[in-house]
Amino acid sequence: MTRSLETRLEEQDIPAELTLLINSIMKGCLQIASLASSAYQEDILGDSGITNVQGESQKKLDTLSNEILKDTIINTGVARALASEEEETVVECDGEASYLVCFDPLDGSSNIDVNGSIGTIFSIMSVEKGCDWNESSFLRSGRAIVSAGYVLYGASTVAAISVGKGTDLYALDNIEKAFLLTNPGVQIPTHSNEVALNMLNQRLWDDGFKAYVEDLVQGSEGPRKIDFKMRWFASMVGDLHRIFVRGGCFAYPRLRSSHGWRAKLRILYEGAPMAFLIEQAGGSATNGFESILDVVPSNIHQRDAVIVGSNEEVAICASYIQGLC
Amino acid sequence: MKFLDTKLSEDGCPAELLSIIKTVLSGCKKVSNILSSGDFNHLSFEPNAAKHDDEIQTLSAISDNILKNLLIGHTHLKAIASKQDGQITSVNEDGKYLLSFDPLDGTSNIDVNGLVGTIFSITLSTDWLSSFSEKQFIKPGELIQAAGFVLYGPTTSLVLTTGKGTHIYKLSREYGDFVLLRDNIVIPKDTREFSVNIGRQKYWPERIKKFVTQFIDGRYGTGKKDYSLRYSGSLVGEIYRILCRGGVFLYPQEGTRRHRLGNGKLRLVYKVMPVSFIVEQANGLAFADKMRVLDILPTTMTQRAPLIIGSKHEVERYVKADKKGESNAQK
Repeated sequence: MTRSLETRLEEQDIPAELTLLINSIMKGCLQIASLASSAYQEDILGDSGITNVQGESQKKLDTLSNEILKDTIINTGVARALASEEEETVVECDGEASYLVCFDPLDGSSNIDVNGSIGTIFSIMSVEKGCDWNESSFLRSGRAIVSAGYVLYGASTVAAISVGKGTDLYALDNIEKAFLLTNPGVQIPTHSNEVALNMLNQRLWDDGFKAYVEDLVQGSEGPRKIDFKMRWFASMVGDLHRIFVRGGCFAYPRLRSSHGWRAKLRILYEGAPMAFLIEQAGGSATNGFESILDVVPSNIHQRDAVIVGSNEEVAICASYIQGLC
Repeated sequence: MKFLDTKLSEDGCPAELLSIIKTVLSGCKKVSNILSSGDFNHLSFEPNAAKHDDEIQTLSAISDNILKNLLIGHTHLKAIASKQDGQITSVNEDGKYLLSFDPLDGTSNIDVNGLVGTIFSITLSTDWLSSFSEKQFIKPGELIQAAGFVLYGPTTSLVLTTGKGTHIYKLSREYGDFVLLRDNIVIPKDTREFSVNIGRQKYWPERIKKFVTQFIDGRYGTGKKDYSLRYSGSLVGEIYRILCRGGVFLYPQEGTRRHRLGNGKLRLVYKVMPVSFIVEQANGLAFADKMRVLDILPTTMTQRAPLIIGSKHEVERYVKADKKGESNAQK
């Protein structure tokens, strides 16, 4: 018998308030899923000028998703404050509550107008009830996360959720409007020959990462002795979901710029939640030097390098970056 | 709002052709429903379930069955050819049209909820050839009467041309029909987006490696601008993005030290010719290495072809570089 998200969360014996929060966030994602699948209907009905409207409607889906999640989270009454990739500053919710929520309402937004993969990522941390609260309450390492998840809106809608007891995969039954458990306690294959990275950035990589990719590309004739496949969806959720299903490694390393090293992915909204989910599924995540879950961000929008996936490949990549290979 | 029928009638599409297109699309709607509704009777979300369990059909087999069941009763079709089994199926000896299709492009993406799609193309049948013969399908892409693909993403998109420009439609769940989103697509001549599986570069001839290097070199290379990369492993996903905002997709010839240069991966009749027709109808270009795709006369249904397709200037640059490389080699 297929279990629903609600049933699964009850089984996992977590505080009722946390269950409520996760269920509510997922309800919000259900709304986003239905918007994403009909994003253009209004514009089509609005007739002419479709091309221009498309740019606007793209913004709309970002903004709408943010508003949906913000409202949903505030309405639960169990969130102390929230931080969103779409919000400049943190938003205070309920003074008596004990959870902090971070989320990226719509990851991969450059994919919206090309009907590509998009997703939502979230994480939840707990704080003491009634304690003083400010922006720095969010600046903790990923070890403080009690639950994280993502939803991938593609041809179907699928999700991954962890409450620190393994990572479970779900798929949306869109007729019953319910997330159903498909893979409880998913385990990422320890090794894989699929890598996700943007090869066109190689001019900007550090020497270690450059060497790592050079050896990859030589395949079975090089030092790695096996052939690698490459994928790049330009959507972190899309690329990561593939890794949860069949293993592999996703790498967005630091890039050289005129202002020194820079990175693309945000720790609070992308790096840490994904690292939590992946470690709960037996994989690992690093910035090349330390585990992503150990990184303490110095501001809520801080970015870092992210290498995440099957243990073996992540470790190999990190040792190249550290100049050990 | 304009429905597909209205647009096709405006374009002067013959009634028989319209009817065939509508039939293909009813099949695609069903596939779209299975995917978007999360139909657990048809779908398995467990990785590789189909490989281990004979009871579970792969989604491409399901799509193939759905389409075949709808098409084999069609009066105006003489025969159909599916990439799924590589078989020609005779439909009606007097039928005016032939249809070839790939029921599910991007199969490596199914279990990861990535982009997948259905590709089809329609040509006129030949009186003197039997409806069972493979030969009737062997003709250059230039003779395609209609070509299209349906992309099953967060929304379901249809790209279609009957030789009067390429138009994009979206499946409206409310009306259960495709409505026009953008007509007469014009692919920008220049682009900053490039898609190729760079992981396979060790299989490429030198001139291809050199060509790709200019994208990596970005602003310091011959292109004098930075590019960004995509590679989804789904041809329809790549082509849809190119139609929406320009871009160039490359799947070149490949070889190894031991194996001589082959024709890459993509099937000429089922994939390369239809998407090339669609892209050229949208002011883009498509070459199979040195030759314009639509000028090629296939020799078999299963033949593969290398492909560079998309924004005009980028493809032209490839073709020119290619010719230069050739004449240098002769010196």
